[in-house]
Amino acid sequence: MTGPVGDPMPHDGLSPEAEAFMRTVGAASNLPMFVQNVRAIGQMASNLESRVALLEKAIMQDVALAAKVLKIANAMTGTPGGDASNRQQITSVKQAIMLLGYDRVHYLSSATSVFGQLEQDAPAVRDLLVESVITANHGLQLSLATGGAKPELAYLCGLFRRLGEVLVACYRPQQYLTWLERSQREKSPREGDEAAVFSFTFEEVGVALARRWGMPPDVARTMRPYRGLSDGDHTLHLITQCSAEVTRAQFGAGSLDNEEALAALRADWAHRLSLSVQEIADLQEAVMQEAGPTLRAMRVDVDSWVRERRDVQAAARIRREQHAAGAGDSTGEAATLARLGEELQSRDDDTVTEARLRAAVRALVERRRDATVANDVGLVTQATLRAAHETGFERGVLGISTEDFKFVRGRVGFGNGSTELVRNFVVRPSATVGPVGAALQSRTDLFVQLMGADAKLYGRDRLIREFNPSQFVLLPLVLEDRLLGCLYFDSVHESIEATDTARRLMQHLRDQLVAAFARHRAAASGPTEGAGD
Amino acid sequence: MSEWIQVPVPSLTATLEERGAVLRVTCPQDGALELRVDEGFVFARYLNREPQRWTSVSPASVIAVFAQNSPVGAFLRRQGASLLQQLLVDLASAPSNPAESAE
Repeated sequence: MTGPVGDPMPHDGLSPEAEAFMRTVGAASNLPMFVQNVRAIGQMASNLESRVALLEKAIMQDVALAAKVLKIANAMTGTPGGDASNRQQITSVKQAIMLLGYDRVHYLSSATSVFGQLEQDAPAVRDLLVESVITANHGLQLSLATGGAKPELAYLCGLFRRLGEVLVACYRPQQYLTWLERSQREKSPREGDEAAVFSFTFEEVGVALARRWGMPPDVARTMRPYRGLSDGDHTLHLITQCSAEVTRAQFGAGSLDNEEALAALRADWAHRLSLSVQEIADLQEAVMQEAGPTLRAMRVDVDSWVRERRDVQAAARIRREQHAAGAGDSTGEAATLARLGEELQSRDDDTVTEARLRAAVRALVERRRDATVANDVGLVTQATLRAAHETGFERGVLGISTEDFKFVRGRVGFGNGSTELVRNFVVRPSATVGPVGAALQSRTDLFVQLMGADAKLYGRDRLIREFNPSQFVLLPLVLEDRLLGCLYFDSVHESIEATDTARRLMQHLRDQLVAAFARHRAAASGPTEGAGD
Repeated sequence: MSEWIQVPVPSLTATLEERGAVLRVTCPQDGALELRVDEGFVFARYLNREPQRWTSVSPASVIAVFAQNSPVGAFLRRQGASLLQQLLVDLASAPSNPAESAE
């Protein structure tokens, strides 16, 4: 049959990039520690009693996993669908293993662990799995309605229709998110457009894996977009393509979000499948009903998920409109720069600090106008930090959000003890951790003198307690609603004038850095992007 | 990950009996087999031969059941089988390809 997953054997017709990707699939290099540990149990102990003890120990080391295992075990023995004879409260992992069996608990705990990691590292996978289940059930209902294909086979083909995309979302999560953002920003992508980012198509890797796993030829064949001809069951191919397109149009992140477009799509497929438009539309209720058990097993609340998708689609539509407006009107950037140019003209009534800040911002705006250096985030960062230093701040740091946006960590600093400052600058953008975290969460600029009520309020914050400044400035860096990071400047001894003009100029300073990040990102998501994660 | 069990596609002469969350399949050739779905994952056990404990079913054999349009596929689907999820877990955590282990 086929070689082991991850073997380096070449696959016929695959591009080198697709082959390189296939080698990473199933390489299991990032397995959760729990799975690595329990894998070894079989080799460590030969008798069942010892294996049960080792598995129990491994599960108990992870409190969250142990709680999930108990929840699952109780759900299985306590629901009407469970074994009636086994309905009793399970209170220990050992009891769960004894009641359900070593193998079931072994598998289910490993699966819980793998999906826990996937949810954290590759959040888009969950949505793709839900869309695939809906596509599968749409295929099933269409085959029943047309009587033209085996229903369970149609289900299978719908389920695996986007296998390649699912794999890419699992194994190249960051690159996939970039692709998703790009497809939401621009026009609705066509199948195959992803090659511009990944240098291979989702279809290519999906078909290769289907073959490697010995899946039925119909599954591999219907992974390919239907283009009017099919070398096998023509109706099955039509049904699978229709189901994939209708589901994507309804729930996909980069979909049209437009009832008229969905109606037109249904009309097109109704014609090809010899059904009425109403018949296709009416299938939806049965589709969602049939998908219910599988989605419940995946712990997906369908109503919440659908609402979430509507929000994602609405946000994508706004991004597309903004992108179209920006692309069609190059005067947007020019107008902003012109406005800034006027505001940054030298003024006689500037204080020394204001004059220095104004000159620094003006220099950055000039740099922004210069296409040859504008994308260099490093240069703009250095200029920004230098400007803050010249203004009188003794220390400063640029913090950047971690990939999962859960923390902002120091990246570059200036001033006395800047290395330590960078190392210790870690903030969770959440109100639960203190006022600095709250400001980052709500994207609020802070200009704080630690006196009176402010000293009490901010003196409680872990970060401020540790750095112990007499005044500080915190400026969140926000791009497309996402917290990229922040600028933090402080002073222990010096007293820096905090006039309204100085504050406004510092915000302009920050805005130039955000603009540099924006242009850097736009350049990175251009056609040359995708060389690696 | 634990071992896989290979489940044959039941022949036309097999009898199927739903017993709550469990489907019992009795084939003259293969003997009696029980199937169940937990958390979207498919498990099986034989009644008269090993393995008699609930063991996870290889995705390759579940795919074959669906591909043959077997009523077993319909049962698994109604019980919430999440085949794509099982495939991803096995792909991520299995030391080798289950299709290969079927040989």
